[in-house]
Amino acid sequence: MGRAVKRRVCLAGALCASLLLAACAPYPVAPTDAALPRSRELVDTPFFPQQQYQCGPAALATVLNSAGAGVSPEQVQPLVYLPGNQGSLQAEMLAAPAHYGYLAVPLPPTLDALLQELSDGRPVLVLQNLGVAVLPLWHYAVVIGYDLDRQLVYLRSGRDRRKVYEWRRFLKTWSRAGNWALVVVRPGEIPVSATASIYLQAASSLERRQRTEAALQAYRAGTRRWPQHALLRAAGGNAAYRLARYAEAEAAYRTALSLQPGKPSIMNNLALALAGQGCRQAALEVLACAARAAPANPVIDDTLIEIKAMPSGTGKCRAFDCPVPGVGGRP
Amino acid sequence: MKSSLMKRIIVLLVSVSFFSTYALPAWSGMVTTDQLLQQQSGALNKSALLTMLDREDVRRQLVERGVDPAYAKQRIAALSDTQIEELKGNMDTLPAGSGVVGIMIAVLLVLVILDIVGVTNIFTFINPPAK
Repeated sequence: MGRAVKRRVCLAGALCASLLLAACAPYPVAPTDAALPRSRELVDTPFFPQQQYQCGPAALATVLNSAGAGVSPEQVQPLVYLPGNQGSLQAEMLAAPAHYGYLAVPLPPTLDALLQELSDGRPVLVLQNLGVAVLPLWHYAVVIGYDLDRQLVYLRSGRDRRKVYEWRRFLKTWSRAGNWALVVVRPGEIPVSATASIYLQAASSLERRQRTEAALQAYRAGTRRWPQHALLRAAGGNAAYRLARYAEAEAAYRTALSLQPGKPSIMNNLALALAGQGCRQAALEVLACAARAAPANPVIDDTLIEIKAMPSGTGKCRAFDCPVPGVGGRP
Repeated sequence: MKSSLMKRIIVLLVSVSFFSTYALPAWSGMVTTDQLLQQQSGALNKSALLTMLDREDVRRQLVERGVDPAYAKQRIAALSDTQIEELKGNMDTLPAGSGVVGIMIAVLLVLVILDIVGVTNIFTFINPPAK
C-alpha cells in the first residue's frame, strides 16, 4: 500500500490540491511591474520526465540544461536526493549547481521576480506545496511561461511536458511553499531580479566547490553591476588571493576598504595579499591597523604568525593610511 | 562520562577523516567569504571545531537517510555554514522532508471524503448500508 501511495506524490498531487484547498496566507495575484510582457513561454526549455518521487533532480536538471550545462537527472540525483525522506532539500538544490560550475540564485519571493526572470528568458525552478499547510505535499517544478491575459502559468512538472495551471491555483500552491524559487546562471551572468547580497551568497557556493576561477568571474560581474558593494569586492579579493593573484587581491581589498573604511576582516586579508607580494613591512602596518580596530582577535594573531613566516621581498609596496584612531591619540 | 567519550571519538573521527576536506590550511589566516557573510548577518562566529562537528552531524544524518557516504562528504562540503545550521536537527521538518506522512494522511482523507459522498465504499463505518 505504502509504495503505491507514495508513487502518486507528484502525479496525484493536483487532484489532492483541488480537493483539499483551504484558506491560506494572502498572496499577490497581479504583478506590479508594468513593463512586463503580457505573455511569454520558453518553449525550448528541455524536459526530463520525473522518475518516482524525484521531482528535485528532474527540475534541477531542467534549469541546469537550460543554462548550458549538459547534465541528466541521474547525474544530479546523488547530489540532491535524500532517499530516506523521498525528497530534496532546498539548501542542497541551491548548492548542487556549483558542482557543475554554475550558480543557483534564489529569487526574491515575489511574483514580479518570477515573471521578470521568465521574460528575460530564464526558466524558474519553484517549490510548490500541492497539499495544504498542515498536510504538505512538496513538489519541485519548473515554470517556463505565463499569460497574463488568459491567466495561465506553464510548467515542466513531473511527467507533464507542458502543465497548464490556472493562475490563482498556481499562486496558491507556490505561496504555500513560501514563494520559493531559484534560477541557474553561468558565472558572469546575473539574474535580473537578483539583489547584491543574495547574488554574493550564490557566487560563494562556487568557492566551496573549489571552482575558484568561476567564483572570481562571478564576483567580477557582480562588482560591475553593484560597484559600491564592499563585500563583493572583498569576496573577489579572496578568490584572487586563493589563485595566488596577490596584486589583484590587493586592489580588490583596497577598493573594499575605501567603501567600508576600517573593517578589520578586510584589513586582515589585505595584509596577507601584501605579504604574498613580499611587502612584509606594509603588511605588518595594515595588520597593526586591523588589530587596533579589533583588539585581541585570534584571527589577526594567526595572520601575524603567518606573515612572519612568509619571505620578505624588496618589491614596490604601496603604503596604507590607517583610518582607525590609535591608542594615545596617534593616527 | 559516556558523552565525553563520544565527544572524543567524534573529534578524533572528524580530525582524521574530514580535516582535509573542510579546513583551509593553505590560507589559515584569511577571513573567508563565508565568514565575511556571517559577520554581515550578525551571526555568532562559532569556533572552527564546533562548525566541523556540526558538519559531521549533518553528514551523518544524510548517510542515515540513505545517501552514499562518498557523496555525503561532497554534499556537506558544498553547503555554507548558515545552511548547515539550517539543516542541523531540522532535516525532517524542512520542506521536501516529511512529505510522505502528509501524503498518506491526505490520501486517506480523500478516500474518506469520497466515501462520504458515495463515490467509493472502503470504510464500512461510513454510510453503512441501510437494513
